[in-house]
Amino acid sequence: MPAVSPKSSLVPSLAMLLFALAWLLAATPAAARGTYLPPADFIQQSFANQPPAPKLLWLDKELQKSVNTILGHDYPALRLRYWRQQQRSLWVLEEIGKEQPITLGIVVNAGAIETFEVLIFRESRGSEIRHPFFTRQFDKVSLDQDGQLSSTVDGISGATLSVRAATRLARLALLFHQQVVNRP
Amino acid sequence: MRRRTPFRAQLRPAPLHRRVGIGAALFIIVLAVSGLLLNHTDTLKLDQRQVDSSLLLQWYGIDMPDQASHYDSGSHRISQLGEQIYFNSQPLLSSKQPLIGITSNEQLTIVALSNTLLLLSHEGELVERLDTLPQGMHKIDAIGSDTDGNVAIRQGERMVVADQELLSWQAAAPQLNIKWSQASQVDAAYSKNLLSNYRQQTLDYERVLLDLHSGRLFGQWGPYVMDAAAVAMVLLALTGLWRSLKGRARKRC
Repeated sequence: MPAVSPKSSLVPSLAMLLFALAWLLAATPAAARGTYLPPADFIQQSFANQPPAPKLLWLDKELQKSVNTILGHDYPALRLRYWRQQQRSLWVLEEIGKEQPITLGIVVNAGAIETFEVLIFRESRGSEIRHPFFTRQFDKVSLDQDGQLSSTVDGISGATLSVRAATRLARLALLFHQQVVNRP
Repeated sequence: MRRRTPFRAQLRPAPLHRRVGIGAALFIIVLAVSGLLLNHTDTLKLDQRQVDSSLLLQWYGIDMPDQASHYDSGSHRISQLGEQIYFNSQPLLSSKQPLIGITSNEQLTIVALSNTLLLLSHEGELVERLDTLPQGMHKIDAIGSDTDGNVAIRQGERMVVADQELLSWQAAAPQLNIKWSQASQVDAAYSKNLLSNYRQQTLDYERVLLDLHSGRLFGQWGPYVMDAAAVAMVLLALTGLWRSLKGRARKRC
């Protein structure tokens, strides 16, 4: 039986490894875009399939001013629908990461985030924010007196803009929750 | 009579530096200036400035899109050219979804795309965007309103009617009298105005500068010309360095 030299077995292995790496790098961005959870399903799940009737929050000038402080621009709508049951409110919000809007589903319970989910991701990069290692950083996070998140959210290299968009939307959901809960 | 410089002498650092510098000057300036501008895209808002030069638009081959549709609600008109949606001839948004129709009630004007409802104020401000259709519906075939002004949408045989605020939907009775939005004809002046607007919205200065920087603006050989300019920059740096070192060595002698 002819002896197999270590060098000759190493070359195909390395080639396979490089091919696999190239395939992974090429495939990841395409696979990352998409609808992870349709907003309608998120609403159903969050209220055990018995969601309350939606309500409307009108973004008047004063509220848009606060929104502008968080997003750096007005929210691109004059009203938002939300679902509220006692101290829980659910928000489906959108913000552009780099070029495309990212849709997040956020449930706020008694002023702190209970659920934070990436519902639709349309960008070519930065979809890592959908993973639990990132989203669980928002668990029980609330707004401090300065309107900032009560705990620091760690970034993800290569997903800076998506992380920023997610963090801004978390602040926005908490702000909107305060608005609807404090209503007379 | 002026003596011709031998070829080997032309390859010496000084003449080479001069010749490469003169030959590539224009391209290097284009590369440097476009690069500088692109470095400050956000500050200069290059991606938000639209090109309206008909020469440049023609150069890019931007012409009338294949698809154009128009709907009237009586007081407002919605149009789609390619992926661009216009409300009363003003750009509203860009969408790949086909335009289905328009209707109005007392508070809102409602535009239907195949999978989305756009709720607009009568002034054309986006009030709300509904991407989630009523349960059991996957697309919209038609939009209209009943005699009370309630908005109705239809998919195949299934029809639903919304309340005044479009918060909830109910199945519509088959005998309900609904006036469905129908495609309308537009005059030549409106079409021309829309086309001119469409062409301006399609191309921004960031795209032009990127193409200028890479050379793609000048066709398939453009990138190679810019590659040559980049190589010329490297040559200039090397020959410049060489001359400088040689000059120092001479002074020491």
